[in-house]
Amino acid sequence: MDLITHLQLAFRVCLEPMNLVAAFLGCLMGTLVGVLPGLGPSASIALLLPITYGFSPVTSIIMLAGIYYGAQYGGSTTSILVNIPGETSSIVTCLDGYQMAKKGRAGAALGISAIGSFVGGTFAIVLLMFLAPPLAKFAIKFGPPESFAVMFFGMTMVTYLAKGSILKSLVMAGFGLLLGCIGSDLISGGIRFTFGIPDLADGVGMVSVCMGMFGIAEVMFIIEEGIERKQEVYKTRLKELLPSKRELKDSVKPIVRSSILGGFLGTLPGGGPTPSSFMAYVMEKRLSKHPERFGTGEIAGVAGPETANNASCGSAFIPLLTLGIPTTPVMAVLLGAFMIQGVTPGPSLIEKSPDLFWGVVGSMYIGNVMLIILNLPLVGMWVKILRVPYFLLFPLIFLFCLVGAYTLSNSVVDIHTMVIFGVIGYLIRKVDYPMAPFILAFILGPQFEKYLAQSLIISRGSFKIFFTRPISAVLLIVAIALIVVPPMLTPFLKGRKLKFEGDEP
Amino acid sequence: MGRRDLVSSLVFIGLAAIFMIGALRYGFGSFSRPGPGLMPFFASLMVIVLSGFIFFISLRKRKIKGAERERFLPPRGVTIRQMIGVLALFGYGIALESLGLTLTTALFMIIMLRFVGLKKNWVMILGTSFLTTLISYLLFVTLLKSALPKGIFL
Repeated sequence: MDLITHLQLAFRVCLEPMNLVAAFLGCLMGTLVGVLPGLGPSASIALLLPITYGFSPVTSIIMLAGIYYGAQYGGSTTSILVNIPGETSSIVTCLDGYQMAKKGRAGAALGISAIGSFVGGTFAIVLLMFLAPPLAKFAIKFGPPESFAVMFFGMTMVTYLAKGSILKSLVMAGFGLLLGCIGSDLISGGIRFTFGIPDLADGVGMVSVCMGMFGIAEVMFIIEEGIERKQEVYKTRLKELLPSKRELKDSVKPIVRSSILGGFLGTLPGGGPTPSSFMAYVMEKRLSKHPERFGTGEIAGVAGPETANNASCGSAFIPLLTLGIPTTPVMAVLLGAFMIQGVTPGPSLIEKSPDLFWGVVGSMYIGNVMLIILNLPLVGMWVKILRVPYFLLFPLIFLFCLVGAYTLSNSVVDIHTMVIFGVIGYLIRKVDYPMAPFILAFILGPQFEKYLAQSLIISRGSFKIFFTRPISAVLLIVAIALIVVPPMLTPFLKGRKLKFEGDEP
Repeated sequence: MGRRDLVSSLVFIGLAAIFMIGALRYGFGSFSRPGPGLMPFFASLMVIVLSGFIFFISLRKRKIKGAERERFLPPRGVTIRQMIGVLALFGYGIALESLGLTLTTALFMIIMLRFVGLKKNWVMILGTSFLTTLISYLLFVTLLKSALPKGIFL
């Protein structure tokens, strides 16, 4: 009965006209973002944050969530038709998707990609509906030590799985924590590290930092890589958008397996769409009766990754909404969006704001349906957009960033902050330091410090409190092991590492 | 790892040292009553120590492999275009409140298309700038009702 009541609430909220429009706009913009290489969901959500200020929290989150899972649908279009991934999570789709296009099966590849994405997304929503409420009830018993341990674990996982060396990832995490210390201290209320600049009293603007590091920095890379590059879109008949019966039959098991894999991985910090898609590809290849066909246009090579990345997108909302822990940089930006709207995701969210939680769940169902319509019959429209030249795109992205930053608080300081962090983000990526640990630590830093301080006050200065409580003990031990054990094992692993780019822009 | 790691690690050490000095001034308090300097001190210590490791590893690798020529920045022409882009972004911020949205946007687009995009067709440049300015106005001012400076024109 509870579930039915919740579903009624979900659809009542998401079917409100404004929320329907928000879901549609989010899916549309998400698909656009996914189709266009260079601009990822993190950047897009950061860019569009200022626009959502005028909306209610429910409407804002519905739209921003739409961008996130919409981008996964759109990313596969360019992978299949152009052999250029629109998103990092669509890299692996290039391997077989483009080969299918070359064989005249682009329509089937796009079709199975959309079907797999739909099934994966739906599975994740069901998981969210069933897992989130009991998890929230369990997590509501968390005290400061558990909250600290969950954040520590989350940041460590993202650091561990980030691109590049673990030393650099840890440096970036530390730098993020330092930046989060600028402004007022949540414990003492004092102002820190403003360097005499009054505008820093409220801290460095999270939105400006994200827009700069993801949006501005990305455009600087577009300028570096060459604005004149032309994209040859593979021309093929798109009339047959559905795969054949044989292809559908061959896709069933990969879709089911990848839904479960992606759904599970999405709940883990660092386990976003990109690692999910890679792992699904590897899994399908290993389980296939004809692994030698992978890379030559095998349908499972498209169905598996595309299902997994969408499943992980949806399930990533579970730790965010129930524990307040973002598992990827995109989720971190979404967490920021929640905070800006005055909503604190965490164990009490479902209880205090059921319309928000269930409204987002309902909108994900509807968004999934909208996306399959947007991405199948309307795929021709996205193909045309791929032809927009870069010399037009990049100033538009800059302009969007500029106006968006100004509207945050009608202050030029936000523009300048954004530009400074844009340059910093560009330089950081040039020296191969990953951004994911930085963003997560920066956004979580103040809360992380608060829970640490509260825990130490409760325990009168003893760190044993973290190890005498089972949940925090387990999380901290696993997190510490993740940092300490791999360097010890490196000589034995002979350089084999499992690293993903994560949800980099 | 190479020269860029040597330089970047020193930059991080320098930045973290500034935070560490500040943290010491704010005071740790004690573990039972953490002060405002506790977290920044340990975070900056972590950055300094780890950046120090990166520095020494890079130094060791350079000595073993010899000097490496690594290109850090893109070719000069591209770097200049990037710098023009960054300056134009700063300039937009400075000009927005005095010149207003429309004029600032138009000028910005002209600079971007001509000096960063390297387009030479002035009809295209001016036409695109005008269109972008119009769309920006309609989107941000008319539709989204953002409170943007009107400046000397609209």
